Amino acid sequence: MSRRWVPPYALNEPGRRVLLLGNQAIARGFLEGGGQVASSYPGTPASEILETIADFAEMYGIYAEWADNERVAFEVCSGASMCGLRTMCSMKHIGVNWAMDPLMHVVLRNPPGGFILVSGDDPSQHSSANEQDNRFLARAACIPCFEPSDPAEAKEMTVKLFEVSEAYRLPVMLRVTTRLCHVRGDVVLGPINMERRKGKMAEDISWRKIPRLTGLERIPPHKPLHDKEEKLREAAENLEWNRVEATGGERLGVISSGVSYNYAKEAISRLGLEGKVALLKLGITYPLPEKLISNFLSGLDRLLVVEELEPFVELQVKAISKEANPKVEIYGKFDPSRKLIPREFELNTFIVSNALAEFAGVPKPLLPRRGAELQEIGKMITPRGLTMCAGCPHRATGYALKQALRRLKIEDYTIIGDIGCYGMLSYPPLRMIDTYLGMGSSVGVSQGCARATGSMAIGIIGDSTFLHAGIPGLISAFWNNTKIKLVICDNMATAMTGFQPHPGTGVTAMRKQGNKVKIEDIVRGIGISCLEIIDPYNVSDSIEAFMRALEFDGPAVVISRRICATEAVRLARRQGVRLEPYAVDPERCTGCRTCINTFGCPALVYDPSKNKVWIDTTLCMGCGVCSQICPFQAIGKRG
Amino acid sequence: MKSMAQVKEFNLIIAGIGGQGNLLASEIIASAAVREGHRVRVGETFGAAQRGGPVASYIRIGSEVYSPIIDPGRADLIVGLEAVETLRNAFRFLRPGGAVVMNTRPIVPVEVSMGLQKYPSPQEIIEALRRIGAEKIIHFDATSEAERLGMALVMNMIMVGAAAGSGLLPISTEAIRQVITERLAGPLLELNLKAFELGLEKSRSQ
Ligand SMILES: Cc1ncc(C[n+]2csc(CCOP(=O)(O)OP(=O)(O)O)c2C)c(N)n1
Ligand code: SF4
Ligand code: SF4
Repeated sequence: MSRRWVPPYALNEPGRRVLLLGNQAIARGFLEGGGQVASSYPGTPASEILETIADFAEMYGIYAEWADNERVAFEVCSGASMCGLRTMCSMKHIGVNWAMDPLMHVVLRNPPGGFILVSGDDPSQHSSANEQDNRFLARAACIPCFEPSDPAEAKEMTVKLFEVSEAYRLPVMLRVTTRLCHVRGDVVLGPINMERRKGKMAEDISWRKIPRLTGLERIPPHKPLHDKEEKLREAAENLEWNRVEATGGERLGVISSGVSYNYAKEAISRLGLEGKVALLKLGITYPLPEKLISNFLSGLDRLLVVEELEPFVELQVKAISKEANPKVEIYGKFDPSRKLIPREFELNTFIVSNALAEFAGVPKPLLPRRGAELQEIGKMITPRGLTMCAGCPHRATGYALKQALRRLKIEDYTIIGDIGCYGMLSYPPLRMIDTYLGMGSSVGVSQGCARATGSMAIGIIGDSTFLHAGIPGLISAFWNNTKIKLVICDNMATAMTGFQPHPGTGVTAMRKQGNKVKIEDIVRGIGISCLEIIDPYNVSDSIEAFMRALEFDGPAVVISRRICATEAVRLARRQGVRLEPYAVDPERCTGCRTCINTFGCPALVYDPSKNKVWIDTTLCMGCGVCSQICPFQAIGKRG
Repeated sequence: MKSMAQVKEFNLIIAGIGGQGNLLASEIIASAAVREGHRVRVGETFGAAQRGGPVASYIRIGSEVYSPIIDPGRADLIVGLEAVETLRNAFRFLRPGGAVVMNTRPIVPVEVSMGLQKYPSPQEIIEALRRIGAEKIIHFDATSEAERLGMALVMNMIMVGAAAGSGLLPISTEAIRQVITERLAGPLLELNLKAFELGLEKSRSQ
């Protein structure tokens, strides 16, 4: 099939300069570096890496897949690497927590195929529930950690890191952040590496080679790993991604890595400190090039380390300075009396300019205005948070559950949410989630709550999240007969991260038909006897099904199945089907706002001047749920 | 139009809410800038797939640009796809003497309909933009214009046109037109080009 538009990352036109998203640049690096197997599980900010690879995979004879979770993805890549293929496993920061177990083992195995683990960290939590600095995880696993500063460098590093990984027979971490993943920049395309290896389990994979670990001659398995680390420390001295810029500053220096380098660079020029402050840019942050840093430190009185999140480089540099230049004063975020850079949230040029100004003893840049008289303008700006889309099936599911609890007069209950769009049930008007932890935890946490309170505990989880991490929790609940109620919101997509398919959809990342996993078969297979399957767009049936599940004396599951509204709109558009919006009959609407105050679809807008509700047709997708909620039958199909 | 070669730093924010086509608009403007040989950085915060949350793209063009984020008070132009989002971003980011191109059509958060929050009127927003220091304000209901063309979704291309029509972008209108033609090749191309030209006209006539 010929495509209308070949996206720039897939072009076979070496030398062409194109605009690429950081994630696309990494995917392009995979292609130019001869990557053959990519596996991942969706998570912002890393998802587009695998999506991009999957997009050109068939064209270039590559295999790309979504796995059921990050641990499986990492294991798939480990297998490919041990069989000699170049491979990449990309995930968001907390995904690496799941991959940690196989990672801690594969580093001992000497895998021969180039193996890149991409960790997408998220300072400022743009789309995450925590901040986490995964450079520490690279260090814990004894693998090198590389930090590109822009899309062009990210592509270049990816290509080279396959070689580095193969030279040391060790996975490497490419640590990126949201401001790399989701930044577009100009990138020059390189030639595509078309070498396609045939995989075979390496003869000298360490488990095969090392004799049974018994007796006196036991070789510590970590010794070769520690030797590799020493060699990498040496090799780090000559990496092109480390460079001293803006020399001339004899007494003041800045060390920076990754995206922070851009802020440091702009801050130096904005403050007119060129020639007064030396700048060392690091492309590798573990292990550090100690000689390069020692030389850099040797002429300095004071050093400022500019990095996001934890003082990872700063602490290592402090250790190096003990020998190299014990008198140098190190500013950054560790020492409370020398703290100039915040440890929370992402940086920007303004924050770094302020820190640098204080560090260098020059006037701080001022914000251009924001006098007190403008503060009232600030107050008139309506706050806007995330919300579920108009027509979202999760809102209808939450509504029905709440009505069922109310009808049964159950007042003492705990609701544990999970990771997905339904998490927004915690916002007005439904406000029905008490708390949540990481992926899949609604199932386990609700059991703890049930045991602790002795009252009703409900977990709300999505289809993708249930398949990722919810199943063992449900097995445990059944096994121990812990009487939780689990609502599985099956919207047939991993919606929150960008509508990726999952095992329940049967569609693969390369848009092929795989096999479909049926969630109800899993639930039944575990042995759960109370299982209700509802369509949340049918309000009264849903409420009744919830009531049955809530009254059941034992663990019960309700699968609420309805395609994600945004996917439904997209599908309809593709098929040329028009989804009829609904309308409010102003004659019947009394202005009671039951539809808004108990349900709150964003397409329902209240007009105070008329004391009526109207429906914004640019948002309404015609789910019809509001028409079942209106006590005056004022809402119906248009026309 | 500014001279092409020597832009040092031009900062543009496209502000709107999820589902309005913000990212495509920013990709088109940035691709046109790359095509004209500029150094470009675009920083975006997307991630949440849902419609309705605030989305802003920072587009930075120029030889001295490294950071993908625009600092407070340094935006030269704000293109707002939704009224309050325009003000939110202008309040924080617009430089004194900067310009604003705004779709006046509001999208009202549910808290407003519930009576928990207030949503300012278009007049209040324009007045506030002036007080913030916006020198040039181009505004019209681009959603209605798009609906008149037959598809509310092409509002984003109307706004790209309006941005080009402001005369402030350091990119030629022709380059943008070319990128749209390539990027949106297919059955909807004609409609999108029509939307672009409409925005261009609307903006030039204000
Ligand atoms: C360990 C981990 N991996 C990935 C993510 C990213 N993530 C956020 S929500 C989500 C799942 C959304 O799918 P689903 O549960 O089906 O809910 P939906 O958004 O479709 O309603 C994922 C994978 C995460 N938060 N944590
Ligand atoms: S993206 Fe889909 S699942 Fe998520 S809030 Fe929107 S309609 Fe609901
Ligand atoms: S029919 Fe009602 S509930 Fe459904 S999307 Fe339209 S306004 Fe919202």
